[in-house]
Amino acid sequence: MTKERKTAKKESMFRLTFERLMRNKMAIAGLIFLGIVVLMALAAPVIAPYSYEEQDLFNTLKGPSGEHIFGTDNLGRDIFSRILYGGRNSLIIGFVSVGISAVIGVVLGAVAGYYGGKVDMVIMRLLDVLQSVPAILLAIAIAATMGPGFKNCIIALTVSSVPGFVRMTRASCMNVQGLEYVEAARSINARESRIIFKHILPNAISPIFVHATMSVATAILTSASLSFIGLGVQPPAAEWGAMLAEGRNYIRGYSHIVIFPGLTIMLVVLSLNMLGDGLRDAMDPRLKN
Amino acid sequence: MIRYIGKRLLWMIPVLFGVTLLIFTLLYFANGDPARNLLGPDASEEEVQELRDEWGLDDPYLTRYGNYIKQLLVDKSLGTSYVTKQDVSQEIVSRFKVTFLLALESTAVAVLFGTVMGILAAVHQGSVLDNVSMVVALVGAAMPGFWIGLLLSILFALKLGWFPASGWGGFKESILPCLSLAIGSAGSIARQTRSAMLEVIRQDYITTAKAKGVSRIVIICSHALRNALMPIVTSAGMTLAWLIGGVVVTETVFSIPGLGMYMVSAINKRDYPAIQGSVLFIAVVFSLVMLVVDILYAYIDPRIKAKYKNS
Amino acid sequence: MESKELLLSVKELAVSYRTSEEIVRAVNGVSFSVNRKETLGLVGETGAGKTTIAKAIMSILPDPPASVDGGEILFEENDLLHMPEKEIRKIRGKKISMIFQDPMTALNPVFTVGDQIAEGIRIHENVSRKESEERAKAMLEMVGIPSSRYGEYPHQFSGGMKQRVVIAIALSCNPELLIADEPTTALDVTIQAQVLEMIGNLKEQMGTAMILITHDLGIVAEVCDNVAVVYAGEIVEMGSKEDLFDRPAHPYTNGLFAALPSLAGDQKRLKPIKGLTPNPANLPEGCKFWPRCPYATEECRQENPGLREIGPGHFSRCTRKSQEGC
Repeated sequence: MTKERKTAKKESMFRLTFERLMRNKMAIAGLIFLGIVVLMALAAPVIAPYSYEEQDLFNTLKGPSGEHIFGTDNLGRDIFSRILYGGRNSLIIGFVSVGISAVIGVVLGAVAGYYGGKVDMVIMRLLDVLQSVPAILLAIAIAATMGPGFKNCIIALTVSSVPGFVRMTRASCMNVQGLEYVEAARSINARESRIIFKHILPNAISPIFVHATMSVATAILTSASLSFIGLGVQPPAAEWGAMLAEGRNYIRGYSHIVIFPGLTIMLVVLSLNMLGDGLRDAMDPRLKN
Repeated sequence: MIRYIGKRLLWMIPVLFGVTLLIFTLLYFANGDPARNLLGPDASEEEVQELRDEWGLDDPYLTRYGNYIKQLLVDKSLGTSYVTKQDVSQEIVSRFKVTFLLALESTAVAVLFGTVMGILAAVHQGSVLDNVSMVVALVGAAMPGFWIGLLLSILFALKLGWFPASGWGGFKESILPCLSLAIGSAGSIARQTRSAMLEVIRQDYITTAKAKGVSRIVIICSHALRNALMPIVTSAGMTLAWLIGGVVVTETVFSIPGLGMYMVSAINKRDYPAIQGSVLFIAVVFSLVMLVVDILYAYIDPRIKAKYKNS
Repeated sequence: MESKELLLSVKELAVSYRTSEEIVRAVNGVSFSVNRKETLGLVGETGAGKTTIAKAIMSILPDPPASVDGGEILFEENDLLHMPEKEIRKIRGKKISMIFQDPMTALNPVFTVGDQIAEGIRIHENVSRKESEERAKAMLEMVGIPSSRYGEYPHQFSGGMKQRVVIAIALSCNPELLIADEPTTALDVTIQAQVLEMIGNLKEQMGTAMILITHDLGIVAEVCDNVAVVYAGEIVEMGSKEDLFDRPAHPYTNGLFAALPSLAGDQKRLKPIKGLTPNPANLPEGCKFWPRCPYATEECRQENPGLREIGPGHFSRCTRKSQEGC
């Protein structure tokens, strides 16, 4: 009986959030565009008219046409195909790095926020060190020392986005801690792990979720920056930021070569931010303006 | 208040030690040989080894870190560049002037446009103005800064020829890089300002002011804005701090001889003293900016001032 | 008794809150009037629409989502609902002022309390900055706060002291009408009586009329001349204090008295009114009180009874003949 009621309540909360999200046109637009980009990137081998490394040296730097809808780059490669394949790299870097840092950050933050005292102190001082260098610089430093490449780029972004998650989770945990229902759980001698996972985290989860969505956007922007200065994904592999870096020497007269990859980054980041805004409003309608 | 500032400055010492340890450790495990890098592939094994010995690159980890700290504390020096043989701190300071000017200029532009846009949007909530400015802000915040830089130089430098596409000198050269940095930040400041204002406008004390017969414009510009200033100052501080680190990429786009370019070239050449020095320097500046933001809070909100006094 | 002079009269006021999800009808056709120097008590449960009525009179309803759907509010024979904002601003804080429920949030945390009092004086009284400061200090003394605390911030005051500051703001321009919205609810019981007494005294001194919003019948008995009982956005009973306390006619009013603990009687237990206040987004048909009324008939479910005069100046919204002994 109680169990049934509990799941019913959980479902209805989830449904309510979902319904509110579905009423938000901006969020829907973001979600749909993101879905399309993810699907197209996944299906790149099927959809892409050319391979990402197929060069056509007789047709370099051609503007958009029927054959190459976004034109070709300095080596005659099809820009549209490269954006599709590049999407795989860019999106994986964004989602995976944020996924890992969210897990690490939430665990550290929950531990710091719940136990307080010395544990909290140590974790927070470590964060102070990490955060006394701007995130992008930290990512650059890590990528630079570990050497450029796909995997190292993910590691660099993970480390630089962990602090945000820790602080956020810690703050939520400390807020929820003092509330009466947690005291109530403690007063009936609930196990600590149970209190953390059943009572504290679920109530701290919505801001974390929103933060994660926005962080993917930031991660994609940062990875583009890393690639742009040559510390990200290496050629001939395609990545949106790397495409901009390769194209920048040809902008005089061939602007299409940087316009399309940049536009793709912008639209993906925009969609993620709109989705994040929508999620925030849907999860906590009080915050809605 | 002075005690609070002193305490915060003291706190910076262990944090900065942490930064030296972090960057030193990263570089210790980094691949690539600075000596081979400097001498080139044609140099003999002996020559390379000689240089490695001179720089102490083969010493154990602790010895090397100890030497580095000793150099920082006793000689009060960030070291000598492997590549230019110049004093790193002098190089950094002269480069930093450029970066700091650019970051300051961009922050000023971003804060000015961002707050005005955010306040107007909040005051006319739901109107066309609100919707348009929020879409502009969202789009602005979604564009990679260096891409904005590329687009601006395509349009204004290459097509129209109004501004130079690269280089550094006077005000004219700074306009395009400044815009490419400011647009994104202005977008996020506008969004922050708007939601902070909307939050404050709903508070009871705004109703009290209205009930006193205070006019709308005074309520917004004095009662509400003063309270919404906290998140605005926070994001302004974050913007400045972020730009000091974030101009790296933009400097590359416009070939501006700032600290960012210096770091990137130091990284490529494995110039350890230059990398360590730059990161440490930026960490100091970053922490100072954050401290200034916290001090500003006290002047905005008397409750925070009281808290500082008690702590 | 002095001759009664009409100050405020509210006629058929209707206010609703509209969101994309629902329409909440908070106030439905409320009419009452206040004479100069008199005190009217608006009594009812939380969510009955009392504060909405008060904010409508001040014309400080948050719009959106609130919208005034009809009626008029005549203050000194001018309709406040159809007055340009500029004119209303001259009345707000000068002729009509308001004391808010929660002193903890009613003061702006970044300004000194003195400045917050002086601001109202400066706006309405056309005096120099220095004089407004002097008068604000006098107001502080008047509400029992030493004027040396002029330059302190709200966070340095306790709840009761903050409420005194709010009262000082409200009375700083000698208003004709003071609206006190549950002025003591957020305070400690020990301070409630003090603050209430102070409001009463100052009101006497200044000759101000007052609308006192409360859910506490004890306060009504002490302070008010007339009482209106509000239920689900309607006035269900209205009359002089004596009418209400000695001859309550509406079942809801009776229920309120029955739910009151009495020290005098040898009551064994309190009689709460059964059921809950109806959801204002989904009000029942007919009489709004029928689902909770012990005397509800089929007729009550069909039709909303109007206010009927059951004695001189005593109105009740119930079809039942006045019942003795309930």
